[in-house]
Amino acid sequence: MKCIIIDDEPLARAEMEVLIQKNSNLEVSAKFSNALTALQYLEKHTIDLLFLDIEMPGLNGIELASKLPKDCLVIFTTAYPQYAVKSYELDAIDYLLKPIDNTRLEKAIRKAELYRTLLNEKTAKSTIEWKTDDFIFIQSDRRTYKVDFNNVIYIEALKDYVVIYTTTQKLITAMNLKTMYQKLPMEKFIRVSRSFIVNLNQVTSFDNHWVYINDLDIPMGEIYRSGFISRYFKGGSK
Amino acid sequence: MKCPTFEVTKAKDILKQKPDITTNQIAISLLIGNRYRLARHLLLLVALLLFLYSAEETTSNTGAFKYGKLLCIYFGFIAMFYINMYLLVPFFFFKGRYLFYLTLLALTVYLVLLTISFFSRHYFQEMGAPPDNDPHRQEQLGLYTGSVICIAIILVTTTFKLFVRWIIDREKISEMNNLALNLELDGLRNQINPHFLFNMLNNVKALIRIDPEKASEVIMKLSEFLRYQLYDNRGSTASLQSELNFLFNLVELEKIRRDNLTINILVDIDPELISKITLPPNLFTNFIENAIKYSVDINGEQEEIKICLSQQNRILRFNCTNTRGPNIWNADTSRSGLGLSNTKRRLELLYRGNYFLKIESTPSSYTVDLNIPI
Repeated sequence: MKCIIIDDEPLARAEMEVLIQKNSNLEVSAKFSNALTALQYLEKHTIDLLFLDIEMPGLNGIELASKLPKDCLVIFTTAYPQYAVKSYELDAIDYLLKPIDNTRLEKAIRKAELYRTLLNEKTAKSTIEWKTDDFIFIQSDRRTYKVDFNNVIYIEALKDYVVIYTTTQKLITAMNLKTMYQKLPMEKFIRVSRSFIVNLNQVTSFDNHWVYINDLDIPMGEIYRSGFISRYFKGGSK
Repeated sequence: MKCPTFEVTKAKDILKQKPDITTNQIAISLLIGNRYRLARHLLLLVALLLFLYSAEETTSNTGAFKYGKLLCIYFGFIAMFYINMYLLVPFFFFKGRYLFYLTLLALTVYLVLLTISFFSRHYFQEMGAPPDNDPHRQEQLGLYTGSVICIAIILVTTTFKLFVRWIIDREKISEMNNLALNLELDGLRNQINPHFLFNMLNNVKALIRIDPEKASEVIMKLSEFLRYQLYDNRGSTASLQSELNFLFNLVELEKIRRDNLTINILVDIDPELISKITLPPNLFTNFIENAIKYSVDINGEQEEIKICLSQQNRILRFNCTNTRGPNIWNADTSRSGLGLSNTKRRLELLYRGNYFLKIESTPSSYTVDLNIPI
């Protein structure tokens, strides 16, 4: 996997490169001090992943991310917490706050690698065949997968696809999250943010900003919170 | 590097504009100060006596009768003045009961005049003063016109009381304004940028790996920088020495964050003076931060900032020039504009026009010239 680093501070670029090399097999193809030169570079080269600072002279990171080709993944690296919500809208892989925490970075890179693999392997061919009350059948690579709703942990939006995380596997299918949500049984699933649907029975705890499923933490959007809370308590009594 | 030549005329202009506070203060303390209270009252009593005496000259009365009547009127007036100033004005006029006040004032005047005429008729007539032709009619007329004239005279003392109160209120209001301004100044001064801090921490994290020696140096500079921002500049003034140290730290830290930026600071001030001069803290910070921000050149050209501090007579001169890259800040002007207008506002609050600020902007450079009195 090829990546580039875009940050206006020289030491931040150096640090990011060191961390990437320590924590992954990513190839750092280039480093840029501003988004405009990076954009010029991206027109000629295919890059899988961007480590992108936000506050930069000229074009900022958010503006650059919205100009990127669809299959280019982004991990934001910034000292500014206030762009986090915006980054979800851009389907960023992750949003890392400076100073960058090694384990947090590693987690983000793993996620990017997983998404890259899923996107490369299955993508467009996978479709939902049919569904019953308890199961959904997903066809992918000429194989049909039977997915028990009870085994689905959560579903995440990824660009033009959704990734279904079950207790045993990860499936990717070409569909937007809204369509997916309509196909799911209402009593079992709830949308908690722009990018996530969770299985109510799998949720172990929640607070104002996060829904926890064992050691997984899933961000909860402001507008989805009250809906989630009322459904969560009803679901629990069932 | 050399400081640009000093513009002496402008320096003189700054020194000239000292507001004339002292004469004003003397006038105010003469009018309302406790020290001159007795003198003010004596002046009033003497002036009243002279006034009545000169008025009495025109009447036809003579001898003991004349002086007796004069004294009688004199004490009557004093009684009216003091009743008005110490009873009617504070308890009725200042409490907003204006109609009540006017009624009581008229009543007081009428009663006092009645007493005066009673005394002058019964006491001084016995002493052999010539009787009037038609005592009853004349007396009635005298009482009414006298009342109106007396009310007019007594209202002068009310005016004086009002004037005193107005001065006191004005002092209070300007004091409160000063307080509000000080609070506003505190707000303007303490705008610490948290992103700068987190970015710096990230850089230190990188340096620890690359150059531990440099990392520890940066941590020291960052600590000094923070200490100054958080504690030392809380007062209304800081020493020039600590302000300079702060600027050096700021510049060194900012250099780490950039690829091609060189910053020179020249201090052309007698070292002995540096430790003596005090000034409001963080006056230049915003200009330097702007210079750092706008010197960015995304084409990778060399970026340069020259800062110069010099002093002549009682003027401190700050000059900051930076190179400019291609204009990439269109979308962002509102925020930087705020920083500059805050600084201008602060200068205005601190020096009230008694400073000189010139900003020169060309496509390739940006120059700030600031002269302040010290």
